Amino acid sequence: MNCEYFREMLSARIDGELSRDEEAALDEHLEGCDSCRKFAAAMAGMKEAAARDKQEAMPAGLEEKILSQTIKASPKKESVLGFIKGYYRVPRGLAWAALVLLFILTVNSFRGVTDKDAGLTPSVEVSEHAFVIQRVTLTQDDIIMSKTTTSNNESL
Amino acid sequence: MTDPDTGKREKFREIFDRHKNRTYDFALRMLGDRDAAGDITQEVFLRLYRAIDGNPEIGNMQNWLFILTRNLCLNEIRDSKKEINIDSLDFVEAVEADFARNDVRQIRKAMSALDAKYKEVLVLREYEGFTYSEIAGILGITVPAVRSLLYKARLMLKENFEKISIKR
Repeated sequence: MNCEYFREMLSARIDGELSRDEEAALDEHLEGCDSCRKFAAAMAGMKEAAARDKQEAMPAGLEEKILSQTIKASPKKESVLGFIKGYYRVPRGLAWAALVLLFILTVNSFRGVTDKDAGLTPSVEVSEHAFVIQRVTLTQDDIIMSKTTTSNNESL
Repeated sequence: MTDPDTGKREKFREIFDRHKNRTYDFALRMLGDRDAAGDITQEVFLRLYRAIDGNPEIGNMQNWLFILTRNLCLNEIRDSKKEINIDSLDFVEAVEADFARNDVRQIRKAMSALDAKYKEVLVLREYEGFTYSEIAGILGITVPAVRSLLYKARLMLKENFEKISIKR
């Protein structure tokens, strides 16, 4: 096996990630290979230098900035969907369906007013129905009234 | 009535306190710039805060944080598209005045000149102390691939280190 193979082992050894069998094979190779021993020393030197370079802590200003944007931020107002979902514990799809239905009903009610204002047919029909219903009722009342009046007159 | 956000805030604070330094240090060593590292770290924790809301059970929190930090750092490196002048990096300059730490400065310089794929694996191992198995999880590769990548990264680092030593 060539030196390249053992140098990869050397790299793994300084990380403590070498198996016992590999350790033994590597030691055997190093005994007879001056070049790999030098390589091992260079690897160890770099490892030590890196170990002296301590981890940098997050600056206090950055920490405060992150916390102020997360847990210290005032709770944002619930969206309508969030309110429905959270309050009634309904699935998201159902909450959306409820919102869409509410929207359609609202739009339709506005359309009714607008159409009426514009003198369009639907509102006229509604008005006529209302008028007819009212008239029929009145007519029935008239009949009852009329019958009552008649019977009263007859009894007289 | 208890605040529904209380649990989320407590969970976030716990994760933040445990991982803030390592996450920031990783971004700093990947980018070599404190402002950029700060921006990335901030973005990572803001995303975490939002993710806790939708995904109360993020599987491996450590992996999740480092994968995100790594991806954002790689995007930053790719998008900045600027030639890195190692001597101008504030992270490297920070140790210049301290002669006792000259070797540390050289290592930082040598690290800064590495390709991102070598730099990330070395930083995760040397500075953040992850095991090969943990690194494999973060980088999405096998443990033997981590071992091989670390060896190549150290070879490149040694080359850079020697070049810098000759220049001095």
